[in-house]
Amino acid sequence: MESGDRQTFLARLRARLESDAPEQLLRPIPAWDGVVPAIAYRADFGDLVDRFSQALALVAGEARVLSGTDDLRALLREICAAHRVERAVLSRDPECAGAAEILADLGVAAEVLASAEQAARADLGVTGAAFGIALTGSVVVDAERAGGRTASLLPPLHLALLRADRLVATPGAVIRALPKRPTGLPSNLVLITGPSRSADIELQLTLGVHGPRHVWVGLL
Amino acid sequence: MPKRVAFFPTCVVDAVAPGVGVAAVRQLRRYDCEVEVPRGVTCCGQPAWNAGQVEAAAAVAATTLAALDAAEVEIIVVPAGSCATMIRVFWPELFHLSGDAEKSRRARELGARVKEFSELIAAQKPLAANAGARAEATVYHHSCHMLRELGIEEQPEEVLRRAGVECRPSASRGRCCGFGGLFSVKLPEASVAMADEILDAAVAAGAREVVSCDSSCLLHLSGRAARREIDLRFRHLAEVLEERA
Amino acid sequence: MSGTQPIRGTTLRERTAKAAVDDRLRTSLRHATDTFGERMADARAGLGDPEGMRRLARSVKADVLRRLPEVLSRLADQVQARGGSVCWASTAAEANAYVTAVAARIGARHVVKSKSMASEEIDLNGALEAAGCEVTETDLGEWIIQLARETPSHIIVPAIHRDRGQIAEVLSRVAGGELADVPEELAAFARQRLREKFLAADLGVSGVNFGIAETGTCVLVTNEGNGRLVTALPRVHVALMGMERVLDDWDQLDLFLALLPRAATGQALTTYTSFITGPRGAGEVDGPDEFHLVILDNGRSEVLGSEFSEMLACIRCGACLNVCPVYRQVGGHAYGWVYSGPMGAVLTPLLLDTREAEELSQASTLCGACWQVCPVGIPLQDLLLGLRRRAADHSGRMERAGWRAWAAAWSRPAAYRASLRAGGAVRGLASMGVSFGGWGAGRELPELPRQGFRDLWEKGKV
Repeated sequence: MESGDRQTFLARLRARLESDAPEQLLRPIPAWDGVVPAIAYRADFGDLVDRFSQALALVAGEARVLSGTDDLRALLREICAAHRVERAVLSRDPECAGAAEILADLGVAAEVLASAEQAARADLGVTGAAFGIALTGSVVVDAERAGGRTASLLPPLHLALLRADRLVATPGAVIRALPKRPTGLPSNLVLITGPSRSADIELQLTLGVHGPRHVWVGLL
Repeated sequence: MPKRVAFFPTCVVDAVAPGVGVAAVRQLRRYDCEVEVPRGVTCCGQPAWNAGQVEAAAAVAATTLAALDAAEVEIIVVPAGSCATMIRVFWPELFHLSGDAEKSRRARELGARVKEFSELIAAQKPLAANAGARAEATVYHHSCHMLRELGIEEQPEEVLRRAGVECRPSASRGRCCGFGGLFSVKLPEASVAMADEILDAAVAAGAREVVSCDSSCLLHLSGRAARREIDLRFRHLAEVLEERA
Repeated sequence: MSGTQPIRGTTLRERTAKAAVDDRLRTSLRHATDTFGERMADARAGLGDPEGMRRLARSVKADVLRRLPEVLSRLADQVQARGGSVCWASTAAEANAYVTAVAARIGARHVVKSKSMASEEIDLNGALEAAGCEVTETDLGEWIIQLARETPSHIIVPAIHRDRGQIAEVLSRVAGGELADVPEELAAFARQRLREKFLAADLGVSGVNFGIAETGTCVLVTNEGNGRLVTALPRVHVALMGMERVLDDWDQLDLFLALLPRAATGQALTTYTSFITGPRGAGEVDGPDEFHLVILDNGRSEVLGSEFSEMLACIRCGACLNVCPVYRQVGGHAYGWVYSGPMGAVLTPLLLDTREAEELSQASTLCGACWQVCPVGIPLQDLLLGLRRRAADHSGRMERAGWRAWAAAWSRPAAYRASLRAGGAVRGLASMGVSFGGWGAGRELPELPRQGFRDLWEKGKV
């Protein structure tokens, strides 16, 4: 649905653009050839898992390589004990398969994400991730894939399970490969890079202002 | 170094810092260079240009353009970074805006022959420095146009180093001193606060002397230092070289 | 009452003079700008060709702006292809009317907002409050200044002018009790109090960092999580976007996402980079039912195609504030409106036609530090000079006469030399209304030499 007057709005812009632009003698803008080359980073990518883990640690997150279910169980036990987790909410990402049972064994009430209110009551949110970005330690959470947005947002703790073969080197590797039509995209895609942070008070870093305070990424 | 150069004193040197002009000319002569000061030069027009007064700036600049052009030399030396910038970077735009394409073209050609003083000296083989005299602890202050428009960053300190003057690093390196022409009197409180940071950093670096290639910056900083009774000496780079030669 | 009305009735001199002697403010500003400056430099060092990227970004934005009508048209079509609604808001009034109408239609009582400078520009909060809504800013810094009834003093850290004690004071009033001035505790209080607001809100209003025309996606770049909450919890999301904040496609976004966070806070990516395309999808248990994009002109079209057109490339990173030697001494409030520092000194007079706005081009020494850090390569100092030329066109008769007299004298060599004698230059400038009392307030006057350089030269004494 559209409101306001598109035609008048755009006609005004066209009139401005057709008017004589003053000649820029001093600092002319070079013409663009229509190409945006890949961004060059000064980073040694080497092993993507190592790179990812280091980058995530730099932003106060924690990466763990999980070789199997036992490792996942150990990580969940550690998180739940350290943070006294009573309730967890799980997204519908395929990576979360098996996590509900483990949490139940640990005495945690674990439910599939059903509403924002439910997520708000949970201590821990477990999601999968469509991709991971090694340069920055980011995980990509897709609301369509996950079945919702709030599992990685409302609980103060967030565990993202990422398949190691979904790790790419740079943000561009994810972004430039996104669908180019609106219908191909989820309603919400978020690149999550560590826990929520603010520096509004004297530039002092505080974590977990609105989003999660702790973020773990389990690499499957 | 060419055999003959034209020297454009600039209005600040003419009016309040003649010693800088004297030192610069004497330095040039030490390279066996004949220095000519074209009679007809006045000011580059920058005060009016910075105030947005194109006509006034163009009228004054035109006089200086004509006089410098008439000198028919390979190199025109300017002992002030901001004035060298005005000629080399802004004159073509100035004359274009005032509707004079011909002068704009001549300004562009002339600008290619303009050298800021330290830029020129840095490109020469160094003269024998007076290594015996102990150099004062010095901080070099970059004037903004020279630094960012002309891209002259390392050369002045290199010239000083060759003359036996080691420059201390300052926490305010590259930061504007707050002169800015009429800014200094239109927003004097901000201007003075900016000067204070430069001065405090120089003192903190243990400097006794502040050297720059722009007399306007030096006037502003020394004026503030004098009011605060800060024990610092302010010298143009040309004066330092001439003292040590 | 909202604090976003432009300051009227004060001069730039008054505001800068007041700020320049506020030692507490200056210490906060130096700390903030030094810290951001260092982080920005470190982050740039992680890029292979930062200068090349700036040049490219400048060219790309200019190209997009030249095609702005087509790009906006595409964006609007694609937003609607995904079930979103679009409002073409030529003026602040139209934008405010649209948002308040949406609020009325859905019976909204509680509105939560994430950071949007455009919304402050149009005083959307005032319009919503007048329509009976409670509006809560949720960006921690913006919430603090909302409570303190102030305008932002920095783009990225709007409450930087307040130290922890002053912030504790503001938040304590809301808490109804004394809060300790410990940042962690203050943040914990904010989380708890604002969480209540998020969950109760009917309408969420956000800004837009980049609108991607190809897919109708709005990209939000945030750190706290409030941007995600504002766009996830309430049943309606309205995104307010300045019409110039658009890109064609993902390739361009990759470039600008590599530039923006590094320039703003020295981060490779902010904590949350959100890509919002339409309202919630089928099968998603949360997310808004409605998505609205408000495309705002509000004076930007006057800038388009003019000599100041490049200002529309600004991505609101705040890097120019962090390096500006003037901002460093006086802070954001001295600029009198929502936008401060070099970008504010350029944008404000382009959007506001007031005496106070016109003065802002004087808040600069044209040092060029802003230009050198701008990730989109905007030559802000050139634009400031252009604004001075525009202002000179309606300068006072006395000032113009003064410059004419100066030009008449200084374009004649003999008159020039005569004027230099006996401090004539100083007297000449004084006749243009330049007050040398300003010099003498903080500085000693230079000694005027008895013989000028020309005299010495002509007497053969050089």
